Order: sequence, then structure tokens, then C-alpha cells
Amino acid sequence: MRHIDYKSLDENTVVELACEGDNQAFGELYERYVTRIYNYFYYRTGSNEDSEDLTARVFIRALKHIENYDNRGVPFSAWLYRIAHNLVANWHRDNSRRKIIPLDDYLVSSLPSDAPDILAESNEQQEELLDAVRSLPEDRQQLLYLKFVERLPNAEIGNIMDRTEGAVKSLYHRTLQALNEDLSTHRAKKPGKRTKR
Amino acid sequence: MDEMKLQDLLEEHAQSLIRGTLNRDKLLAKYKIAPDNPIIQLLDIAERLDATMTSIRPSEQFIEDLYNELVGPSATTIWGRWARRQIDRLPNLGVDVQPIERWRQLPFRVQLAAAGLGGLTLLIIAARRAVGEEMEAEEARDILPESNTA
Repeated sequence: MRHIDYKSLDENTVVELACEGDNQAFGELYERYVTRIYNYFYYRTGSNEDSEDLTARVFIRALKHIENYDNRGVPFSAWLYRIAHNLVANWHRDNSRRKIIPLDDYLVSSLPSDAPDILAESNEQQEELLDAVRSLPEDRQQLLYLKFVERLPNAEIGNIMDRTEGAVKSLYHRTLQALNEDLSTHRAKKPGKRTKR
Repeated sequence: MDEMKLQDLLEEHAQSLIRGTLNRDKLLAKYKIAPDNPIIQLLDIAERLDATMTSIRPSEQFIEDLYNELVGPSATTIWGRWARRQIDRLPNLGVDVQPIERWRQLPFRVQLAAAGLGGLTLLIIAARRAVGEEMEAEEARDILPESNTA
């Protein structure tokens, strides 16, 4: 058995080893993707518990089926996101209730501690925005996640979403328009709400 | 502004946001956008999305537990990472890491059982040696007093 430094290997090689049944290679892929997949679910479900559960299911499913993965087809990340996409679609189907992201968990630390009024306003606005994002159709949520959280270029987003770069650009435009309409409607319904940016 | 040009503007705006190089005035001037143009609202939303949708790290406990479930004993613990670094250095020192790698590939339960068995063996060897030394000492005591008094 040879010694392998998995961290130094490029993704294709690690994937090939994992496909051949190398558990340590799969572990390396897990380490490279666990945070990304968790984030994917976190922004879709708004729940840490559900995100952890769904993330675990993605990797368990991936481990079970990795020998069937074709390296010459879609990139590994796209394959993983497709598993995630199917799971979150089932999750939405099974959970009619809406959940709120516990914003305090990660927003408080990024804001000045001596400005509670700004903090409250900012949290409220961000909650409103994330609520609007979660009410978008699946593909638009996925696009925003891949663009702003993953910070992927359109070519890679296209690979994952099985669309051309042009289609991704067009979808982004329509998504911003839909969000703008949703937020405007929301503001119109709540005239007393502060909307200062 | 036609549809394609608008999409180009939004894309360039998003890319500069992601890279952290946004110069909004310059961008608006490039595309000849007036400050009261409704497109500005879309740029505002994109900037809010960029500020709000940040990457969140799951808990270390969750990451490690799931790793163990998928792969076996974790190399993600502090001890595991330290051990991994030491093993990575061994080939440079001319040490054959094959047995260590074989050991790492074993399931955790097997490693635990083997370690227990190894520990027990060492304990038995140590006990036998201690008993042997005690017997030798006794034999020596039987001889020494006579030789000393002689």
C-alpha cells in the first residue's frame, strides 16, 4: 500500500481514488465540500438541525453511489449539488412549514456591538431579504446561493445547474427583478417598517 | 437599455461585488445609467444579497462526527491532525510508512481491539519479567549472606 498525501492531489485524482473504493480519498472530498453543502442547505432551510441532517444524507448517499459516478460527465461538485438539490426538493415537499434563519448566530459578530439600533434594523432587513429569497423558486434560490455564498463564476454555475452561461445571466436578472417586486410589495404592506439602507 | 446590455451590467456589478472591487459610480457612468434609473434598485438588492449571504461554518463536532461515520476514525481531531503530519514527514526521513498506512486503513474497532491486545501482551511480558527478576534476587539473597559472612 502506498502513502498518499490526499490534500496535495487535484480533485479529479481524489475522485478517481474514491471511485476505486479508497475511503481516505472520499474523506478528503468530504472535507473539501462539507461546508459548501451545509451552506447550501442552511440558506434553503433556515435551520441548522435540518442542514446538518441533509448534509449527512448527501454524503452518505454519495459514498454509497460514488462507484457509479462518471468522472468524464458532470464535475464532482455538480454531481454532489444534484444530490443536494433532490434532497432539498423532498425536504420542501415534506415540510410545508416555513422556518426563520437564526440570524443572531452569525450576524451579531459582524456588526458593531455598541450600535443596538443599527443591529436591530440590519437584522430585520436581512431577515426580510432572506425570507424573500426563500420564497423564490428552487432554481433562483440555487443561483443566488452559488453566486453570493459560493462565489462561483457563471460557467461553473451553469455546469451545476445544467444551463448555459447566457441562461444563468438571464436568470440572475429575472431573480433580482422578482426580489425587487417582492420586497416592494412587502414594504407597501408594512408602511411603518423602516427600510433605510 | 436593451435586455442584453442590462444583463451585462448586472453581471459586471455582481462580479465586482464578489471580487470586492466595486466602483459603482464608474460602473454607472460606463453604462450611462442616471441615478434615478429603476435599475439602481436591482443593484441595491444585489449589494444587500452580497452582504447578507455569507458562508457559515458548521460546528466542528458535526464535521468530525460525520467524518467518523463515513470514513472511520477521524484525522480531523487535533491529535489526528498531529499524527497525520508526523506520518507525512516519515517518508522524507527514509522510514517505511507501509505498516502505519495499513494500520490507519483498519476499522476503528479492529484498531481498538488490537491496541488492547497489544497492551495486554506488554503487561504480561512486564509482569513475567518482574517475577523473574524477583526470583533471581531471591536466589542471590540465598547466596550472598553466606559469602559475606565467610
